[in-house]
Amino acid sequence: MTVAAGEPNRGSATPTFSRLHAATVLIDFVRNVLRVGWVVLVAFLAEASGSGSGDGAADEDRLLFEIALAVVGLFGAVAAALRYATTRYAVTDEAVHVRSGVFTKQDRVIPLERVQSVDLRRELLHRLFGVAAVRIDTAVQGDAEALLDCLGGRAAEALRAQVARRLGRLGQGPAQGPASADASVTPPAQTVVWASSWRDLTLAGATSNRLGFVVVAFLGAAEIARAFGPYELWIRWAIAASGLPPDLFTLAALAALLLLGWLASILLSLVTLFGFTLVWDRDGLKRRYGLIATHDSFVPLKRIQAIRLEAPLIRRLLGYASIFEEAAGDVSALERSSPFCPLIPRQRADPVIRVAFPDASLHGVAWRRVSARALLRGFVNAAATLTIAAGLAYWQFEWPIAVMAPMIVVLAAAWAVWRHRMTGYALAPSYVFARRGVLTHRTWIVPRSRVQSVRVEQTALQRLSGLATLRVVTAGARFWAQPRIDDLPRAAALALQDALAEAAHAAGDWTPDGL
Amino acid sequence: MKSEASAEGAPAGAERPEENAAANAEWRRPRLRVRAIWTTTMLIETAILGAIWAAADIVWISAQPWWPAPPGLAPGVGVCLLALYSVWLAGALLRAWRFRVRPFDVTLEYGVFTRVRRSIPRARIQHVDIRRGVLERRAGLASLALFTAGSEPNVGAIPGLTPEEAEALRALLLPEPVISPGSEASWRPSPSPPPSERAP
Repeated sequence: MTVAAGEPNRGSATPTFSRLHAATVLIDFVRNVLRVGWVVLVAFLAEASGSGSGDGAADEDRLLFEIALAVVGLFGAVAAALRYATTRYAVTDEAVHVRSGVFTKQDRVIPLERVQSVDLRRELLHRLFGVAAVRIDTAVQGDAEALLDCLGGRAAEALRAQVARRLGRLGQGPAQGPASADASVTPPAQTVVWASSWRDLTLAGATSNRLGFVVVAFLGAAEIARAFGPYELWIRWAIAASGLPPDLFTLAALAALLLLGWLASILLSLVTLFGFTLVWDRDGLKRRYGLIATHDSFVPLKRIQAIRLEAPLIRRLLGYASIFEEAAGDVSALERSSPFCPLIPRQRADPVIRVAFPDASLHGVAWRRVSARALLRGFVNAAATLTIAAGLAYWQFEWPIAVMAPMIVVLAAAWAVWRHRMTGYALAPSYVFARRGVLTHRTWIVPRSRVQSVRVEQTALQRLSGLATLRVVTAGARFWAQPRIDDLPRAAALALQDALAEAAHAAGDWTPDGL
Repeated sequence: MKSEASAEGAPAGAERPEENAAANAEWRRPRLRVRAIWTTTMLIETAILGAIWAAADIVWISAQPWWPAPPGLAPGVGVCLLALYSVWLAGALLRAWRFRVRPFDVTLEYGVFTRVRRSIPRARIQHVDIRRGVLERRAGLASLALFTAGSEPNVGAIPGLTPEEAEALRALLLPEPVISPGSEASWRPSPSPPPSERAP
């Protein structure tokens, strides 16, 4: 390397390009091998378990397996070396330049003014070599504008600091509220907005619905275990060792499996979200978390279009919720899952929400219910679903209809009432609030100035009952996560639509990156 | 307007009762010619589907011992039904489609089974596209696609405009949004005015 990586070369018209960190080759190689290697491994195991005990066949399998691994390794190494050899980057006062590509050369220039966020991610391998993956995002939808994977630790920090200074000058701070735009609110030197405690993270793991994945993983492991011997033998051995009757053993094993899954889920949350902190300093809001893979990123406050509180049933009953931000421009699938705040008592959510929207509050929101006719619709929907389930139960197990019918009525009625109580909306001077959901309850806070369009839709059934669903479309990421209010009376929906559209128009021309 | 009337309890063709006529610009409708385009498109799709279906039926499905119908019968009936459905759907789509430009927004209303009314604040319109497909060019029509910021590719396309109407609408929507309601006065429902009247 001829140039100290990441050093800004001030004032020079032609940027000086440097390579990525040399460890990139090794890390890429390991990644490439892992990405393909497990398929080979699984195929081998499946083959080995399938073909009986013929020694010749086993030897042949082993040879094939070794050849496959060698091919994977060779391709992995060549790909890693090529990527390292062809990627160059440079940072100047004005822009980040990235050159890459083996066959198709790409030369990308990202003006620093347009950069929305710079994230540092360190996975286990990165940490072994003291390097980091740097992703640079602008407001454009889609993948990162630049993913520099990997840079040396110091070069990464230097790059981020430079962009942060630039963003700081441009007023990236949280003071840019959507409605207040009160530039006089300067954040103190450094404030910890939210730091998750051990208790929070344990609770987050305990209440996350990850059990299904764990069970699937266990079944997969059991399938692989077949390769090493008929596991019915093991089970018979385990039953004999436990001294329980087989029925009881099955129950106990199932309970143990669920408990294990639950513990694994807690452990997973503790490891991935370890030390989750939101820190607000002069450069903006920073989010840090992770024990093995560490994340260190800016939260692009300017880009936040809406805040969503999400609470699955158990968390809601315990009074907890997760907070997510809906940001304009896209973030990778990985970053997408990182919450604004993984688990917070609902009562204490306001200070965190106010970081993004200074004058918003969930306290004292005058929630309004939707039409009472929604009760009927909820009842009909739930009853229809339950009737189908009951029909299957009768067909398969001949469950008595006389017992199931009243149960359907009671359950559907309870569902309808609950659904109606959970659904609501409120219109504040600068925000619109919406909430819905029986099993997972979601609450949205959308600044009225960030509404992009408003959609009122009526299904055929809704038209019969004069109801309509209103969707508030923002520039935030996904359609399904956009706020919606079900079963408003049609006239009310149209009035609300007009009010929101008029306010959005009056808020004037506005682009999602706020530039 | 039959389906709407039954849902709203209002006489066919009348404005909906909850709308204050004074506050709203007049609704406009796509040109009737667009129905032919939609019908043609759907019939072509039906024909392609029918061809694949017929091939599969003759070569494979009707060769199965459990298949009751003679070769080609099922696709024949199916394609006829689909064609009838296409003709009906094109008409129903056209009857449902209307739009209006108000001082603060563009409202689109469409949909046969699920009726959608979409309000796009005019200040939020990032850009607009005039689109003219092969059939649209033959029919002397164009459509105008509206874009706002956000993840949706486009928030709506107004079909069945003449090219002049589309140009004028683009000129109206694209520059700095005009807030005064007076500027809307030159906008009349689609049939009559000559293009020259609609210069921004």
